[in-house]
Amino acid sequence: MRLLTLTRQDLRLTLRDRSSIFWIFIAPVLWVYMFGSITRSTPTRIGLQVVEEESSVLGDRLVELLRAENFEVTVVPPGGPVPKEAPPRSVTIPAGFSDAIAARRKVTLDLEQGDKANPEGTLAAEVALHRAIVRLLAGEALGPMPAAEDKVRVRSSWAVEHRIPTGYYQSLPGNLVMFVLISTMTYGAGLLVTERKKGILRRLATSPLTRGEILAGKALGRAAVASVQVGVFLIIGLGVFRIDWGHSPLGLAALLGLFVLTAASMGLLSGSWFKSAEAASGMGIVLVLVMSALGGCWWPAEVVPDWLRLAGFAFPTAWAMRGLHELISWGGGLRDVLVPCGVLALFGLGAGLLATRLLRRAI
Amino acid sequence: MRTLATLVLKDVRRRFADPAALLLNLAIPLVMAGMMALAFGGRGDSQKTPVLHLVVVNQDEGPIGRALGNAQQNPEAANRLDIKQAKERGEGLTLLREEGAAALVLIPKDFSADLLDGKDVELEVVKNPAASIMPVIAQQGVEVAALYISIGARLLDGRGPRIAELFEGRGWDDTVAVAALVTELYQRVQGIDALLIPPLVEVKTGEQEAAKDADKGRPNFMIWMFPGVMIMGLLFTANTQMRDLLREGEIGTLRRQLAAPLGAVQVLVAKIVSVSAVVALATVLLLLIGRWAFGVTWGPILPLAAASAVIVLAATGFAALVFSLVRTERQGDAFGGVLVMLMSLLGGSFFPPQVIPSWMQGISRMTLTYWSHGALRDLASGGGWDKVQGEVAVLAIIGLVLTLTGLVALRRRHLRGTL
Repeated sequence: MRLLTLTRQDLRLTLRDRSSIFWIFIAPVLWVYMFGSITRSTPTRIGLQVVEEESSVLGDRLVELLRAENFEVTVVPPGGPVPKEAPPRSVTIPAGFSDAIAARRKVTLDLEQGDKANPEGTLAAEVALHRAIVRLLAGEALGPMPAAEDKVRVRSSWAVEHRIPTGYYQSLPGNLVMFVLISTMTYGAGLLVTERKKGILRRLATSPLTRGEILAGKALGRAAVASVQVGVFLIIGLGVFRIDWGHSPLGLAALLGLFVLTAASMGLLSGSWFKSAEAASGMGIVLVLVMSALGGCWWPAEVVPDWLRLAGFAFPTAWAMRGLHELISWGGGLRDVLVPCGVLALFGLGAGLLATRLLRRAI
Repeated sequence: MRTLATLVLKDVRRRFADPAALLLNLAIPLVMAGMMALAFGGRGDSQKTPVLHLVVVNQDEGPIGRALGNAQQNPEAANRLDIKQAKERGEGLTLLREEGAAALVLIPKDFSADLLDGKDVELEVVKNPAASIMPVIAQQGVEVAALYISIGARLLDGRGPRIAELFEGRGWDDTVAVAALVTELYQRVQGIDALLIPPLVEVKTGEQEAAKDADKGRPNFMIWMFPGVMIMGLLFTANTQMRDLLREGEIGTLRRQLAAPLGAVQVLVAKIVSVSAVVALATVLLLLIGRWAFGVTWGPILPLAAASAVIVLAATGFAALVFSLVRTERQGDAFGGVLVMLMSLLGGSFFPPQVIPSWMQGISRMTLTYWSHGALRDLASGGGWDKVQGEVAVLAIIGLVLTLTGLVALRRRHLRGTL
């Protein structure tokens, strides 16, 4: 009961700070929206403008093959005006294209990407363009090669019909992990340093609370703030961004519960380590940024070099993200997140024990 | 003027006696840019391709299955492809999930034999749902491979069963027939060789001019990334430095200065100028780090100096106004921090402004971050006076209005004794 009073008091102090309203309730929605909306996956049909410098049989055939590659093709005929609202990518078929192929001379097609073209779409465009070119050239030697007559077909599917981490499915879990750590390692830590410096912790020791109760109360105070924040993310995820959190409420509760405790312990450690509140929150934000970037909160971990992806697992952020992907993308259950949960528990325990050791001196 | 210079000099010296806060403010943009550089290439220009991790279940005992399953042995693919073999689908799916590979590729039983027999065959790609980009690349890669194999099958033109026999060690006795077959195939390959190996038509992907590194003509994402986070860092720096004003207000040193032959305006102007001196130093440091660590070239010196000067003015004015409106340092930190983050997010500090949702672009233009990193991004993209003069003019107006409003509000508070 006394423990709960301490926890409640910490939560009240944090929520009384007006800026915490911004960081806990407003910033997550803004960040998730902005980062989620700009990283949404490419539409099925990629817009491509084809500028023909000269009309030719092979040029026209290439355009047909591009259409078959699922491009939304807009053709600018020779001498025709280039539309102002052109698609974000444009390929130019140069004059003398057919002649060069007939004479077996190298030809280069320029694929220009505008400033609104996303790298994913450009890569898809490059590959599809390559396929269309190969089909065109093979057709020159072996006769027309329509895709329907290919001997080898490719059947592709996702391993499970679930949510791939793109758009809000990347930005929401990523920002959840980052913002929870920001609140515990900057606000939580800063508040603890202030209490330590002003002797409030020592004064608490004169109350009937045991030393252990004070420390547990402080840890739970940070966990309570983090839990409120996780709750906000879950609710805006469901209500605003329509996120499917997977099939395992138990797995989600275990993973997020342990992440909250780990974040609280890290906040406690940071608050017991630094000498001033400014240093705690300043270094806290720097550390959180590093952990978030390496842990795959800012971008999908798959796109970074292997060594960096592996380095991310030195931090709890990567394990939390891995667990969330297991639940959301693979549709896994409690059993599938046991390893991430175990590692998070170890991080939490380690940080908690170190913080306790440091804080005992301050009480 | 001399008094003002003395006041500023002493104040700046005092501020640099404890540079920890300044260094922390500069660390935030540098850490953000550093992380981006680590993830996507040392200086933003190396176009690193991440390794494609695949799991292959090869149930085909023929030559095509073996070639596909061992594609990693191709020297060109060796650095870009990492293939793990699995015996059957279940094991492959487990590996896909545990190893976080991009996709599982299944080559079915009798794939080579059926293909050589002229039958239609199928490759299966099972993508990892916990990744978004690499599985699609894996699928596209397999589709390209499938196309090449289809072309190969067409090249055989019904000679497949005979070749299959030869692969099985049968039919070698009729050397004349074997020689005829080899000659025929050689001629067919020759016909396609000049067209397809490598493809006669190549694609060159070009960026729009604004996204190219002015010096090297190579795309460099740091051109938009670094100015964005740099402006955020400068605004945090200005806020942290201006906070000192309230601290002096609390301990009464500002009021005590009024006992000297100094006016309130003189004292406050000196404070604001000393903040701007620190912000200017931070600007120079970040510009140099941007150049040497992240390969951002800042263009001609005069437009850069003008843009930097108005950015410093705007950042200082912003901080002066914020701290003229709040009562305590804590309020200033909170209010200022929230405003800086909001302006950075809406102003496009973290991504190119063009990709911001269109309804938000109007709001974006109302932030000083938009104009500040816009000017630096234009210079870094090779622009000169003609490109940045509009942004410099807007920033000069914003800076003057913010600084004067902040100064008037601070003076009123100072004379009222609340500062």
